[in-house]
Amino acid sequence: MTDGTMLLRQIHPAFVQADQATSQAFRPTPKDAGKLSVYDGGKITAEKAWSHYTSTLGYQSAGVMGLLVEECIKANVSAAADPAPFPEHCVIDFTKLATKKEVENAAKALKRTASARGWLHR
Amino acid sequence: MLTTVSTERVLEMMEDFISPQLEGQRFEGHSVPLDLLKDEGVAKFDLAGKLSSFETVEHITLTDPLDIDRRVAELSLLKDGWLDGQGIALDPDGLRRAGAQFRTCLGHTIPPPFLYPTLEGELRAEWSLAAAEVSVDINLVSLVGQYSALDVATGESIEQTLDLTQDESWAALNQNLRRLVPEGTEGSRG
Repeated sequence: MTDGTMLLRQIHPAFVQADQATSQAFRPTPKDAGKLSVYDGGKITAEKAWSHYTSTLGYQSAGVMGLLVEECIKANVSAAADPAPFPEHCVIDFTKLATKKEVENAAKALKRTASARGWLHR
Repeated sequence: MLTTVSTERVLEMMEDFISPQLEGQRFEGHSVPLDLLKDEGVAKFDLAGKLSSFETVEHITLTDPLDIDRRVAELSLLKDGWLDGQGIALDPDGLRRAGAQFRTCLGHTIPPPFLYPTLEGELRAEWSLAAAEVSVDINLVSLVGQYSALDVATGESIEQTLDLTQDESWAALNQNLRRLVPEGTEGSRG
């Protein structure tokens, strides 16, 4: 994984209105323990990641948005490979952010960047 | 009444709007109510599932993709566990009250919000404005909202608690948003 690696984030249908994703889709939920699951775009395409997520794992996704590793760093979060669940699995790590406000701001910055890039697969 | 536009032209205009929203649903050879239109209308679909004609049309008013009532109705259908097993259902009465407040109290020059559910069963309003990402997380019992605005250029953020049953809080929210809406891009809600 390099700074230029694209990280692929699945967006739940309820988190989309008029093609616009909420920033909530770019922050971990309580069960994520501060680490947001993404796919390594250097190892899998957005389309195949979507198929894996919806068909193999059985979760819902309205589509895939993307963030470069360097864009995550700019938003004060880091990225790392986490191949335990499956080989292409990575996480965006929010655990160094001390407050809810910092998490919220990072998620908003990530959402702004991903939205500017647009959907990688729908 | 539909008096100045031909059915063919209406079909042409509507096809791109309606078909994606009905994708996956099966209406072949049937007539179905057009709930994507405000007011009354019945559309007929051919055997290929393609919109072929309108049987009756009283009014044609395309629903705004950010229409608050429509979004409130959608969100009220969410059940507990809506986020792949996580997520509390949003209280329908609270949703209606919050939606009504947005309709009547949000300044008319401010773009309508994007509305989303939260895991905690709250309603989240978001605006993506020129330099700011704004959110208000609203408790659907108390209608107290947590306002948060991030200046994406500077990284600075502002937070504020707003009681959205109170006029003063709406005045504060409208004032905050007006400052962030770029001139010349104000919304035009009716």
